[in-house]
Amino acid sequence: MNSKSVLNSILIICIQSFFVWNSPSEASNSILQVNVEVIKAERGSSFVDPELEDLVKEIGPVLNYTGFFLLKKSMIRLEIEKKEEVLLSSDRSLELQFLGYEEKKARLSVKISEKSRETFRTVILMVNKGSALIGGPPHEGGVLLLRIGAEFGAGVSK
Amino acid sequence: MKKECEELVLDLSAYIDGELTENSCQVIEKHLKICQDCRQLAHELEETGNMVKQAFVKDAEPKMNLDGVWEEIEARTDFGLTFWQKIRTLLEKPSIWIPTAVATTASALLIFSLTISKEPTHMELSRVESVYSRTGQVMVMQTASSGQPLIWILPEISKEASQ
Repeated sequence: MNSKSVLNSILIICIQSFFVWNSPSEASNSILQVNVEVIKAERGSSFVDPELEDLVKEIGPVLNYTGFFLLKKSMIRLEIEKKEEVLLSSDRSLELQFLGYEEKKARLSVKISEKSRETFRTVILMVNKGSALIGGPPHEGGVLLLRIGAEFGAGVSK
Repeated sequence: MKKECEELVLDLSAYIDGELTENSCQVIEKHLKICQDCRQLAHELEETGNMVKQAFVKDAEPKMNLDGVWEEIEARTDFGLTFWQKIRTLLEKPSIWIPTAVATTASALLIFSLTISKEPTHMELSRVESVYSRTGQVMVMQTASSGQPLIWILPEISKEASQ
């Protein structure tokens, strides 16, 4: 093999790498990584958990709460059609189900149940590394706020 | 100057150049033997003619090798190759331009790949497809800066009213 053939091979590898790198990444990975942060928001306090400062900047002007406590943080890896449950409090739970991909977005079903009774459900199309906020259920003098982040594609290993 | 001399002067150049007939030449030669002034003039004309001939002989030398002279000038001045001459020299050597082309293409592809960001843009936001609440009271909003969906579950109106 002469030097010209070697160089041509390198060029072909570069071009193939480019197409592999830029191909729709979700097709190559069926795992959805969901990060759930369970937060209590209340009005009587001005404490803000350091991990939530970015969130407070984001929703501070919208919601009339001053204290933000991070109660729980979970990372869940979901395969398509698989469900996982996160306990929010003694009588309240969160169920997540990954429904598949649509146009480079992951479809995620989110259900909240109280005493085994479904009280809320939604389906969110999540962009990669995007997040959604769900709040409102009363909790210990404040309200529960859930920040649900999703990550998929090449960055999420199987 | 005598009248005879004035007439002869007119033909003197032609005599020196050998353009006259034999009879005319004899007449002029006969006069030159007896006239000092005309002899002097004839001598001066002949010298002038010789100088002109010598000058023409010099110009008639073989032509100079201009290409050789130009090459010598370039060699002595040593300006080196011009930009385009250098490019042409490089293109003539595949061992140089093939790796250069490969490296350039790879760099271009890498830069292009990095430019295509996989991060969500403001145009590409998460969105709520459907929502249900047992209370029947839900607000769906978006945060101001990043545009994240914000679903707020409101308490039941009847429960709130009874309280």
